[in-house]
Amino acid sequence: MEDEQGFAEFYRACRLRVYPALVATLGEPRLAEESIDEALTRAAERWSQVRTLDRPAGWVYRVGVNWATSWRRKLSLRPTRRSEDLDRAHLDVLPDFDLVRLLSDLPLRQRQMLILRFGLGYSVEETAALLGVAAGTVKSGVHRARQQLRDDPEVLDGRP
Amino acid sequence: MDVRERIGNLMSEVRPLPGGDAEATFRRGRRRVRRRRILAAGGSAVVAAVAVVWVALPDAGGSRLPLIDDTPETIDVEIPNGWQTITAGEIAVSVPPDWEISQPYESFEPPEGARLGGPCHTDLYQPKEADGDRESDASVAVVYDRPTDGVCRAAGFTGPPPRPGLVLFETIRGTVDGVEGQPGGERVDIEDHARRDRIGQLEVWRTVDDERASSDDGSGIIAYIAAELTGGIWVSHPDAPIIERILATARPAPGAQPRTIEAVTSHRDLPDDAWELLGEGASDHYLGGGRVLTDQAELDRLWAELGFEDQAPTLPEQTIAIVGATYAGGLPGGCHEHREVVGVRMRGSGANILLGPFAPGQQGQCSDTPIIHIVTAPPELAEGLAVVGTETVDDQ
Repeated sequence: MEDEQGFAEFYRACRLRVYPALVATLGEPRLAEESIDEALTRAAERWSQVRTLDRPAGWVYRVGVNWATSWRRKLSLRPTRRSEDLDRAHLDVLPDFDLVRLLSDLPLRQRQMLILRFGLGYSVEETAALLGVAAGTVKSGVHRARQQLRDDPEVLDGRP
Repeated sequence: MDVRERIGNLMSEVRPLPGGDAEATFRRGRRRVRRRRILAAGGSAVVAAVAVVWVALPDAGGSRLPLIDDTPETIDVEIPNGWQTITAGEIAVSVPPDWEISQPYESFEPPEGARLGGPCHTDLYQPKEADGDRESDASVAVVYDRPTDGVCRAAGFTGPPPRPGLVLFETIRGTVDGVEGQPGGERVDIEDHARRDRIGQLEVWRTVDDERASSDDGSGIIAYIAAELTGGIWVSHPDAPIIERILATARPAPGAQPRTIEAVTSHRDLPDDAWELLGEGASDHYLGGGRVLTDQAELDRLWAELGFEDQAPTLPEQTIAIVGATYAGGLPGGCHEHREVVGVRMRGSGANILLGPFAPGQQGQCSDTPIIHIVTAPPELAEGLAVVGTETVDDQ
């Protein structure tokens, strides 16, 4: 079926492209894996609509982040104490662990702006449309995020 | 190396784990969706206000592409017999007969600029920032929003506050400067509405715990509240709507019976991404947000976005709509473990309209499918309308 073939192609390309963006945004490879599958499942369910979007991969990214955020919020209902060692063990597999950790210190919205702009290559206007904010908000958010990262000595001392 | 380059490199170096084909992902995803709903296992609220329209959505089952192909059934809700209705101008709110209503709200006029108690957040946690490892006598608080009156209350207070006689607020917004466990330089106003005066300003403390920082949209404030203050406080927050006046408050009377859904007889599966399409706040456990529509065309567009191929419900003339959604959730025999409250906050009328609570409690009346709610109101109230969201309280 044409619809299903079209989705299969979208799935392959989108998973490769959006998964790293979700890892960078969420800072947890396993959660990113769950969220990309969730988002692609939703895309499959509504493929006739999603395929007509201007930025379907951006839609998948947004849905993935929102799902992961909601999931984390549900988990936060339990009294938990995180183990930094455990987190570190999960993140150590990443090629630039330090960057992921620094990104995780940014507000989620700023992280999303950075990743959409520099990771997925969307323009300011496209990023604004995907996040439902004004273009000026994206500009200022990206500026603040970059400023904060630049101010962090670990960025300056990071990889050459 | 610039941040842009490092992000680019990270994107090129990270590869997903082998995930199988699209069909396998789809099957796996459906199982996850089902599991998530089981975990969510909550009830949903259905109480009607005048001009409230419930759109009941029959279940579409597990078919694929397109998943949703049923014709929606629109139900104009009639106020259940015996319910109490509060009216003010064109606004009316109906609550169950065994609820307590205060009208007007003790003639209380909020101080100028006061803001509705607002973005409180349901949470349960240990104040490790407050006192290191003293878990045995640490404060543990559940703080939740009271959509009826904007009061944040604490339950489960089990120990002394971090600082004697003080209300310590933390923010889960990720934008406050400072270091973990240290004052962040931002302040919130605290007002004791029982004494009707401002207690003062308190520092907002920052947490860098990612679980909380993930809610960086200002939707939540987590608070430690001293025991003597749990009778009710106003919480001011920059993101909260300004109070104009309080129309009335209503809340379940002690011992009030949980409600079942009385007005919705069927529903259907809402797309899982409805939460995104409807706006943050439309989902369970999430306070604040939702989506306010100002005309029929917007509702039509939303309907199309949601993937409904049929016609959107027709709004009454001269109305706007607030759209939110909840799960009417739970497994048979399991949904009585929770009760939920759906609230709609209106600034123009000064009212917080409460659309719940609902605790099914009876097997067979639970559903694990989401329901979309459309609440209509006069257009002049558009600016102040917001879906407060739902609140789930575990009874066990």
